[in-house]
Amino acid sequence: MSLVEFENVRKEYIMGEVTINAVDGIDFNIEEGEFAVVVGTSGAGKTTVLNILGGMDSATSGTIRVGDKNITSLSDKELINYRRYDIGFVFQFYNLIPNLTAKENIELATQICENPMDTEKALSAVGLSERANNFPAQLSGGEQQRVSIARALAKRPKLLLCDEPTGALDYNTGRSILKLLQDTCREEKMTVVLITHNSAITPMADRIIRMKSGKVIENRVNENPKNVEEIEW
Amino acid sequence: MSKALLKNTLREIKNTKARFISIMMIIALGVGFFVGVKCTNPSMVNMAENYYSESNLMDFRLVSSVGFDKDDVEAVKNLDGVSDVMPSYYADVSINTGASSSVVRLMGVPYDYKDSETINKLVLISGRFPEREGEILLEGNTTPSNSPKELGEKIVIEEKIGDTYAKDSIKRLEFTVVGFVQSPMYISFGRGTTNVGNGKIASYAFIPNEDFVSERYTEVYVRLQKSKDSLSPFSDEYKDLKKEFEEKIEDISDKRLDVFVEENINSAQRELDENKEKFESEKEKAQKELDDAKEELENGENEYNTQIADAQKLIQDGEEKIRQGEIEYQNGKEQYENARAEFEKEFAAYKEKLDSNRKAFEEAKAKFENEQKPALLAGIEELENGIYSLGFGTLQGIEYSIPDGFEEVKEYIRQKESEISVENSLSILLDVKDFLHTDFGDTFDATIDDSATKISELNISLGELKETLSSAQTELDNNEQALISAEQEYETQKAEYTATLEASKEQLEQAEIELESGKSELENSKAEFEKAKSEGKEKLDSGRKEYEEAKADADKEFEKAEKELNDAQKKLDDFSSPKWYIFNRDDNPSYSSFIDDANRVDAVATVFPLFFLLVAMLVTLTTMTRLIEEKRTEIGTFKALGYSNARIVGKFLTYSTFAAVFGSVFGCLLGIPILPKVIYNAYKMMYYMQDIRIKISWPVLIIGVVCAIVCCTFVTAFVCFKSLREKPSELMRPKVPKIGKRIILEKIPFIWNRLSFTSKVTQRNLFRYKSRFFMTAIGIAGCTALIVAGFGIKDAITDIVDIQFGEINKYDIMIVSEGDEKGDFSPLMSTLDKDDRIKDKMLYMQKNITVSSEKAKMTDDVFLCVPDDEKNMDELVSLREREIHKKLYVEDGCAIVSEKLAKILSVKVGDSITLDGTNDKKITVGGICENYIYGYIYITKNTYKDLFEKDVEYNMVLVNVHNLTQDDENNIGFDYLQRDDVKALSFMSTGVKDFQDMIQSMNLIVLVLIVCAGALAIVVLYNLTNINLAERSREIATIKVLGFNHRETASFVYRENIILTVIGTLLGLVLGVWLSRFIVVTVEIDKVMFGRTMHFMSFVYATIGTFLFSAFVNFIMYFRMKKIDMVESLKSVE
Ligand SMILES: Nc1ncnc2c1ncn2[C@@H]1O[C@H](COP(=O)(O)OP(=O)(O)O)[C@@H](O)[C@H]1O
Ligand SMILES: [Mg+2]
Repeated sequence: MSLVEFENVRKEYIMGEVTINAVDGIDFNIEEGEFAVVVGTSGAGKTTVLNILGGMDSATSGTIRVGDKNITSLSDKELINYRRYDIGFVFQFYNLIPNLTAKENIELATQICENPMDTEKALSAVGLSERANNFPAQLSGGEQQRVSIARALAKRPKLLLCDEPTGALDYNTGRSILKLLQDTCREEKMTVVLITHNSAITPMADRIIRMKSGKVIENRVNENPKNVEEIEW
Repeated sequence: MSKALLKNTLREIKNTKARFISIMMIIALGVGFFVGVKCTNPSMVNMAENYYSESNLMDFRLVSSVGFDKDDVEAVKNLDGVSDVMPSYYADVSINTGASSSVVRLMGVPYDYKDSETINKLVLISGRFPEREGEILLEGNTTPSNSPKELGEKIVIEEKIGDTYAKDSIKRLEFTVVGFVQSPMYISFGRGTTNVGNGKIASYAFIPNEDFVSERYTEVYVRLQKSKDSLSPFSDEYKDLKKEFEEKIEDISDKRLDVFVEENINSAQRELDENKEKFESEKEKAQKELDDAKEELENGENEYNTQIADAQKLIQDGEEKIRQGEIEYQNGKEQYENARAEFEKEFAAYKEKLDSNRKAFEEAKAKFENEQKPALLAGIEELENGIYSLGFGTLQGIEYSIPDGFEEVKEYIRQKESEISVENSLSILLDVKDFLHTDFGDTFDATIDDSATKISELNISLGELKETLSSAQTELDNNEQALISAEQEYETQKAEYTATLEASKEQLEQAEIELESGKSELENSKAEFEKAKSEGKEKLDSGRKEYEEAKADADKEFEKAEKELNDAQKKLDDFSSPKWYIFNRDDNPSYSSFIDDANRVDAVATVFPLFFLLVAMLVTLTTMTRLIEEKRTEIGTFKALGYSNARIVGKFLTYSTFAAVFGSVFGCLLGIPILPKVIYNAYKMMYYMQDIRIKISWPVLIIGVVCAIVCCTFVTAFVCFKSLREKPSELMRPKVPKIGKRIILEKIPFIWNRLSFTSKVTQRNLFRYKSRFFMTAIGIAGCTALIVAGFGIKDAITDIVDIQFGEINKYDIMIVSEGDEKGDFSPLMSTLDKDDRIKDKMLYMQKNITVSSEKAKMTDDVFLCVPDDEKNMDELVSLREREIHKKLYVEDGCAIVSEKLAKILSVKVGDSITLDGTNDKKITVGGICENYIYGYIYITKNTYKDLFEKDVEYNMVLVNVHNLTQDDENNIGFDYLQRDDVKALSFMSTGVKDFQDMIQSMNLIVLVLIVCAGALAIVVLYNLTNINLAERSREIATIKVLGFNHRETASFVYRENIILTVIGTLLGLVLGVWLSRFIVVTVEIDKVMFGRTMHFMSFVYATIGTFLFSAFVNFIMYFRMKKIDMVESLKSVE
């Protein structure tokens, strides 16, 4: 049984008289331990899908199953717990709390988990042990994103969701972030869902989900995922 | 403003509804409160003006000590500027209202009342105006002391009030109620005081003028033309006018009184003087007659007295003599008794001695006869025998020896032998010897000699014995003889003494008889004397009595005549210094207090809104800052597109101006109709006036609105220009988030490591967003301060009454008295002593005085107090220092000054003040005492004497009562006001009540303040929390995504709010103390000092209040926070 299963999921935004189908009845599944990449042009509905999957937004209709939970039927409280214990989120703009140091930003997440990763370990995993006591403003974008990833990883989530994590970063930094994510996926056997509008990244994925105008137009397993070092864009 | 900009602005408003409304509300609050409260005073004043002019309220009320006649009234009426004059009557009478009596002031009303434009227009509540004599109008506002009456009911007036007869002033005692009215003269509970009954006027009533006895009017009401033409009675012009007319009326009064004196007084005085003279001469004559009689009487008395004295002297001498004789007799008797006793004792001893002598003698005699004598006789016989036998023997011997022969010789010898005896033996022997010699020579010599020797020896012994015997015999005989003679002597002596004693006894008895007869003689003469004396006395006494009676009669007549004359003189004197008393509207306490109240509101209104405005500016500042920060990209874009700064700023200015204008309009719309009503209604409880008609004070309104708009736009412009200084490129980029900073606390790991994660965040946030920190803290401090001030004012006013009447002026009743006609207080004091309702009492002088220091002078509402017993005044008037409650005692040579007065005079302990009327003598301030109402100076009676060079004239007795009920009050009032030496009674409870009413109204104002403060608190907190949430929505969304539940999220945000609330509250408590002190001092009037201590509970209330408001806002914000949309908030930064 797949870890994540989407079944005819829809998300509509009603803007006055116009109804926008941001997600238009999609079905797909992701297996445990996979590095899944959702790719599509801007406005294709990727973020919407991820938000719904992350329990930050609700679907208009359809069912989403993660493990043994049916996300769409969770209560508000259950949804909070779902986010708390099952999900790690990496944002495009890092969303670190500016008033907390790198270490504290990670602690912010771990203090509410049941079985968190050691903060130091999470930091060293992203190679930032030296910067533990720096505030976000004292870190470069890539470093901030790494802290963000460390924060997500430290929770030991079932699912790591990343919404264009390299979007705000330069090429090389982006690569190193992607590598970090891929390594984590492989070493920690963590299921990672990554969103990108850049198809060039897809070869590194175990599974590629291609979206267009709110629909999944392709969902295939990449038999030969490449290492990040091997791909260029 | 271009259409696009307007549209943009409107859209902006729509997008930031909450913020716009925040600014609008705070401005509405500030402006509304300011304008609303500021309109209260003009509205109240306006209402009073209308009421005055609609009710044709008098400008002056004239009262004359001699009343007014038509000419007087005419003279006043003819004054230029006087529009109406209404002469009238009044009298205070007593009406029994069941349990007790109450004093009612009756006033005159003309029959044609309803037809004419009268002064002090009465409002007929029900019934009709009187149409004939014996009808009465009662006051329509039944005060508690009035028992309700009905139309047609009969009112019976008591015959006497005090010692005045009601009939002296009114024609009848029974009236029928025909209507109920309300007089504009009485707009509050106070009905004033009187000097009859229990001293308190309980209600007023109107009867027809014709029902009054006097033909002279007792009062005249005057209305000025200017007043009729609606000149505001509160304008300066009116004040000048009032002064001017007071002077004019005084001029008239002088003229009219001259006329009165000439017409009525002078002739009467002349007549009186004549009578006086006549009286004096008659009195003199009568007095002389009396004096003569008295002299005669006295002469007789003198004579009698000397005679009596002489006789008395004689009797006294006789008595003396008798007494002397008696003493002598007694002495003699005593002597006799003593002598007799001594004699008997002596003679008894004598006899005893004699008897013992006799006994001894008899014993000696017996012994001699029986023993010594026989022994001696035997001795003698023996000796004689010896001698004889010796001689005979010797001779016989010789005879025998003679040889026979010698017969002759023998014969001879034989002869001799026969002859021989004891006596001649020797001589015989010797003869023999000689004879023998012749015959025998000396042969027998030796023998004879030897015998002779022996015989002579025996003879000697015999002689001796014989001698012994005879001497013993002689001695015995002698003794016997002596004894006998002694016995004889005794007898003779005894006889002699006895005779002497008998003689003296006889003498004594004679003396006693003589004494007795002397005594009885004296008694007789004494009795005779007494009789003569009492007879003389009786005669004299009857003469004296006759004289006394005559004199008493004469004196009584004199006194009567004199009293008549004096009364006449007094009456004349009363009239001869007649005076017109001019009262204006300010003399009606209701009117002056109404305006005081209105002014007090105005003073509060000046202080508070400033505060609101300040807070409003703060709120606008933070809100606009946030708004502009959010719009920086837009500003940058506009700037990059080449818009001028002015146009860009214009948008925000329009935004804030809109907020200010709408807020002001909204505030005015709410504040002006509501606040004056609420405040006025508080006062309406105390005044019978019509409903308030709101008068908008345009200057105030404009000031308020302009202030709000200017502040708002100024703040906006300030924030805008700060942003505009940045380059467009910088503006386009999101504002660099403020760098997280370590705070000082982190340097103390001991504490820091122990803090929970959220507290760490909170601490950092507090320090990171300094401006928000200050805004919130100041905003909350403002609210707390307002609440503290609200309660502070309440405390200040509550203290006035509680402390002034509960802890300083502790007496229950002030009995106004100047003693009896001699100025003697002892009758009153002894009555009080016996009255067991009375607990403490003290003579007291309290009088109005002008006092000055080097820096200031104070005339009104300053009282000089002189206690009779300054050491024991504590139970009645307790003097102490305010802060430490140290007891103060008035001491000779210095004065204790009440606090506010000392402040006005700006004197401290040790400085000196001068009292009027002391020839500028200075007196040192010895202490400053706590006091709230009026100013007081306390000195001792000695100090008074030193200062004023006369003794204190006490004018009241302060009294404490055990448990005073309303009934007691009335009873005591009636009991004491009946006395001639009591002028009036004033009960403290009345004073307390008046002030409590004032406090009641202040309570409502405090409530208004607190509600406003609450509204302010809510708006400020809501706004600040709102901004806080907006600024941190991204953070909040992030932690939500991380899986924080609502509670955790809330604590992440609220901890800051709570800390800020606590800090703000603490700050506000301090600020509140300043604010309330400032307000209290501003609102205070000269004659009243408000309390200076804040009650602890006020701080507690303020703190709880602020916390509640804060909790309420946070509660509302909780839902907002819950609603923060993670997806929206985390969308890429714009
Ligand atoms: N809150 C919203 N209201 C209205 N439309 C939205 C909202 N969020 C997303 N959309 C629309 O849904 C579509 C999908 O958006 P999104 O999931 O963000 O696309 P992607 O991440 O693939 O660029 C877009 O067309 C966007 O306009
Ligand atoms: Mg997207």
